[in-house]
Amino acid sequence: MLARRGVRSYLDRMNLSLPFAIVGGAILGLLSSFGQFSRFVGDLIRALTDVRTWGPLTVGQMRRLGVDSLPIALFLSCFTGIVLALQASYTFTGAIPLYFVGALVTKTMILELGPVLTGLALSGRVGANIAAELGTMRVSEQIDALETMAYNPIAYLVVPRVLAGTIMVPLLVIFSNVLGIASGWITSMNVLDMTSAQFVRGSRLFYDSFDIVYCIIKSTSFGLTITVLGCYQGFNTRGGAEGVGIATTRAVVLASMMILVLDAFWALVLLQ
Amino acid sequence: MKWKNEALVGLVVIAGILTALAGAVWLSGRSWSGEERTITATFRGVGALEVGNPVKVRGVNVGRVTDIRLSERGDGVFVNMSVRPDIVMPSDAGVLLASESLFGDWMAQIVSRGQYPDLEFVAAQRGRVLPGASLPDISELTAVAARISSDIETLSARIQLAFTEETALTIRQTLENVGEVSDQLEGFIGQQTRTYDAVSRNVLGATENVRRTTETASLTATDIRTTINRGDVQAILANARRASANLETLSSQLSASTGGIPGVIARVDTTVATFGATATALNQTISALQPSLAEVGPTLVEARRAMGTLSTAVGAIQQGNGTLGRLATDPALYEEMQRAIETLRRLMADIQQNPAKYIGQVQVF
Repeated sequence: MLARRGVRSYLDRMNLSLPFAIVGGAILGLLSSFGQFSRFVGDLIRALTDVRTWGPLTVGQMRRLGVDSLPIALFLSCFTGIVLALQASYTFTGAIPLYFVGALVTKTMILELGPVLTGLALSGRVGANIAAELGTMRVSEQIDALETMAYNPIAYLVVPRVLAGTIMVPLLVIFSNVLGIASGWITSMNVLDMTSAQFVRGSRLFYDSFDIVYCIIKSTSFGLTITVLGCYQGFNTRGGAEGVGIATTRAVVLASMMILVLDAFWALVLLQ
Repeated sequence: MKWKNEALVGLVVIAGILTALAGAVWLSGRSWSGEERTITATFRGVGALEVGNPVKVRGVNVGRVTDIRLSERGDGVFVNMSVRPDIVMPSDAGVLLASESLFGDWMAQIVSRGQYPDLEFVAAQRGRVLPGASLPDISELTAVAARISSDIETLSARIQLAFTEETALTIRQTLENVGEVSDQLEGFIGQQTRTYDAVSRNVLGATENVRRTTETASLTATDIRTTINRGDVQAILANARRASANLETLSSQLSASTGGIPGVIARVDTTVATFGATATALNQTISALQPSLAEVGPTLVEARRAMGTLSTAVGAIQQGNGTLGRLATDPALYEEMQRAIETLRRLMADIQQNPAKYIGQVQVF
């Protein structure tokens, strides 16, 4: 009798609906986040019509997000090209002609490493910058002040950044590709005892004009993703400084993950 | 500051776009000047050729492949190539597709067809289209090499099966035997050499003997000549002359005695001719008789069979079998028959004397 009472009291104390509540809460949270993000994207698209607001600000953002990010993008690609050339020659030794180093460096830089490495670097620099900036504005109620003054905060804060990122990231990737290939070329001539003609022959061996198109499409999507996620996380920051930190971290992590996901997506869609 | 930002951004954007365009042109290998000449060639198949592959003349890169398309009827392929305008084409120009390296990249070569008499270039159906041919793909060559290696593998496996330890021992024994035979041959050759040496020495001795004999014969001839010169031979010749005259007389006598022989021979010839005619007639008679003779065999067989039957009947009669046998062997029957015959004779005599006594009563109708 006592034992039966003990079990019943234990069951009464245990909330059997808790697992369902967790799953349901997660799904609702996911759907809520998705809906919130969709509404944010909708607002972003609608704000594109407000050219007077975002137009004058876009160039400044292009300078901050694009031109100022050029050194880190070039730094990354320079060493990437060197490493690619050396690793290719290490792999090809003996069996495969060395001019294939040119093919590998060029093809890899254009199709994969240029866009992805630049995108990852910019997700850290640009995505974190945007999320922290907008998050701070949110927690300090500056965005609320803009709304109070009948400014469209999306057109004023988000659209210039998104457009700047979408335009500048492909350009950064192009410069990165050029510098990566050039560094690989120089490395091949000075370290691998290759002639310039051999490297050029290898570079042109498997080149297809679609490679450039693919690279631009991919890097454009990366720029759009980095800036939109950064703006979304910053725009929806809650709490104080801690919230800003969380938003910044989320922006970087999500942007990096989405870059890799998009990398696979575009390869699947465009290269098959 | 504001204009500085805009200028910097504009510079970066323009530089980026130009860099992308320049890079694309450079990597594609196109001419910067833009002056290019397009040539078209036709092929049965283009293998692994792709748009962008290089076009070469004597190994020098002069352009690239710009378009590959099937013919309207689907029985060929047209390839457009963009080449430098200053390229001098051979009078019998053709386009040869071949692997540029072992790694699958192909190229188009503008060649003189006379340099490749074994290749069959596809004839162009319309003007200004170069005839083309393609060399085997590296995969086809690899397939052939694979077949060859497979054959070699099979052959080596068979050799491995055939070349056992026992085979090796046999070969070793064979080599040892060959060595022994070589030794024996060497000894035999040495022996033969010695024999030939002895023979050579004997030949030399014989030659010496011949030389001596020749000298002796020469001396003898000298003696004969001396004898002739002395006149002893003259008497011998006179005797021989007389003997010859005697022989001539004898032969004339013989000739006279044999004068009638030609007549006899003529008669013999006539007789032989007669015999010949007779033999010819005999032959014809025999030929005529041959069909009859062919029937003689069966007739003889029939006669032999009849004689056998007759012999059997005679034997039976002699043994007294049958009516004739009993007639032949029984004397009573013989006597009875004699009496009957005698009676018949008397009857016939009586009939002749008195016919009316026997036939007067006979009426006809």
